[in-house]
Amino acid sequence: MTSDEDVEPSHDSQPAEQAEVFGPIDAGALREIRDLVVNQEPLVEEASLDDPLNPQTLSVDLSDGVGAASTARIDIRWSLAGNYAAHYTDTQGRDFRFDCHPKPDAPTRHFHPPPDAPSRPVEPSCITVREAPLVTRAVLQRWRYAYTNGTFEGLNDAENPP
Amino acid sequence: MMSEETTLPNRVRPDGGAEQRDINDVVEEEWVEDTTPFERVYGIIRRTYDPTSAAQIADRARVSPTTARKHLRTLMDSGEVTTAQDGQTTLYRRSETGIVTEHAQSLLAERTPEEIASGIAELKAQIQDWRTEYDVDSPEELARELDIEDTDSDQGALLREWQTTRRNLALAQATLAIAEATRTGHLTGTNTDDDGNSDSSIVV
Repeated sequence: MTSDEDVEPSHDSQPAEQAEVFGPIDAGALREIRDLVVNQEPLVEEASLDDPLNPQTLSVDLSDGVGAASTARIDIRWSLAGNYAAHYTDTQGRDFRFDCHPKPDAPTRHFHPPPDAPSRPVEPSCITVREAPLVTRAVLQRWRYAYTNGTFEGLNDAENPP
Repeated sequence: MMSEETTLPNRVRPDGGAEQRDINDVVEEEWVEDTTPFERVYGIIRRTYDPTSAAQIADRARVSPTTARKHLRTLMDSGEVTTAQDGQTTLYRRSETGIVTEHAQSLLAERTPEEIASGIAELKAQIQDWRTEYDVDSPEELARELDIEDTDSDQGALLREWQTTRRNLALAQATLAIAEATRTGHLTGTNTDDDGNSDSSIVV
């Protein structure tokens, strides 16, 4: 055993919403999202945790990508506080992210637009649901929209169905 | 870039109807269709770590407060959920027992106890490396020293990784204890070996 003060000295200032930080990743939530994604999206080739013992990221490999991209990947993080990041990247080098976490001068729920998903500026995210199974479905739905239409136009628009 | 073809929806969005609907409403409807009220209450409380009222859980699970209360009591009896009192209001959250049990079940399905034991050593070494490299004892101390503001920054990523590793270490240790108890059979009185100390027990 270590000389742990690993046992936290009583969360000094932790109100209901964890301020400022993303917070530790929720391994259980990542497994729940993994199972849901495999169940919901037929193009999933593999969905795996980077390290089963110390998972930081769930990677979802898709057997096709938007438009000219031949494959794509969505990397998902989910924290104990319910913060998340869902990052799409494809073989054409295009990226976008649906995020929810505190970010200075930006809405908590925000969208990093394609093709580069720059750190800023960001847009408010069209995804407003909070629970992991709902956010997962919404992210898949937005990916489906772009995939089906072969374009990123309107990706961050809650009213555009696939 | 407009595309000319408007392809038909697939099973991600089974719900016919050509009218444009807000995806947040659509996914919520799908979720409610695909799950039972109990599954939703359980699903929500499993990820609720801050004490929360039954009314709030009900709202998030899209069930009535009465239904939420009933299922939360069942889950409390089975140790999945723990409560605290705030005046007249009972607050519920996921219990440590529940967290460990869920984690141990998934981890032991994916890794052997031996692999978990060596993984634990690696996690400890990783944490020790961070302590040495940044000359701080904890990720919180690191956050204070660096004044981390943006979780998207490299420093924000390090903070998250350290906090995650610390939690996963604690979970791996608890998992290994369960595996060890299973191996010996002492908890169920079904141990076949006679408690030898020449065994391969894993001490971490």
